[in-house]
Amino acid sequence: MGSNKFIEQNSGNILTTEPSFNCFGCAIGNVKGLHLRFEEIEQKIQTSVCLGKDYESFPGVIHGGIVGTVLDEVMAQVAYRNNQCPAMTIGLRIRYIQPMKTGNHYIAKAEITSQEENVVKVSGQVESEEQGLISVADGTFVLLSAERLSSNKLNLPDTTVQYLMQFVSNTQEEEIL
Amino acid sequence: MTLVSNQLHSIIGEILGVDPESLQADTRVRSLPKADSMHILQIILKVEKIYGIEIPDTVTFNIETVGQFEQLIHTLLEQNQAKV
Repeated sequence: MGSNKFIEQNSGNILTTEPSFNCFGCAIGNVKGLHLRFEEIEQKIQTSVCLGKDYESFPGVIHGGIVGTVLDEVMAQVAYRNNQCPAMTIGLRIRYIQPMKTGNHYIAKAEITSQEENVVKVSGQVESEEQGLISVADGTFVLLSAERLSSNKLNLPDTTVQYLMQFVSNTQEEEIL
Repeated sequence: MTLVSNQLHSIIGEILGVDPESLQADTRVRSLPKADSMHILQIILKVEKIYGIEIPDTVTFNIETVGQFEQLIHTLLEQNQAKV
């Protein structure tokens, strides 16, 4: 699993604080985003979340797509942080058990279940002390290594490839230092 | 009892807090104490992990008896073997 040093370097967060980074899940500068912050606990990545009315489906209930976004985000983070490489979702299965309620506090956590080269399988869950298990997910993520970005078989926009290549390059330089 | 049957009864017994030996093929899962959607999903997740199978989402709501659940596991295991 990822070193504490790496988590320390990134909990700040290289991606989330970088001005052009606008991730709906974790970018600090996205005014419409969820602003999720992450921490490492017992080899899992977790985040706490408490959402308001803007994210509802039925009154009092958080939209299922938003619950899925929280799970996708925390799972992508565990893949990214443990490989020091950005990760993109290529498969996601979500199972909903109970509603996430507006204004209530929840914990979303994720851990890697297996990895074969650049493909990482991750499980995640959302839970609360009051309600127990809310939702579980299994995700598959591909690591966006320099080689994969160069070939760009994922049809990413050119600007995204340039941005991520720069990020991967900086990370590799830090590793060498 | 088959190995699958034994393991399934143990999992259900552990998660729902019932004696595994009291479970029969025609025992209705939802009639057992603590059998709400959260506990049934916990059973499904554990079964998926042990057998390396993927149980369809509809099972969470449609499964009726312990015997049906066991049959489903056998069917999915056979499908997995056929793929290899």
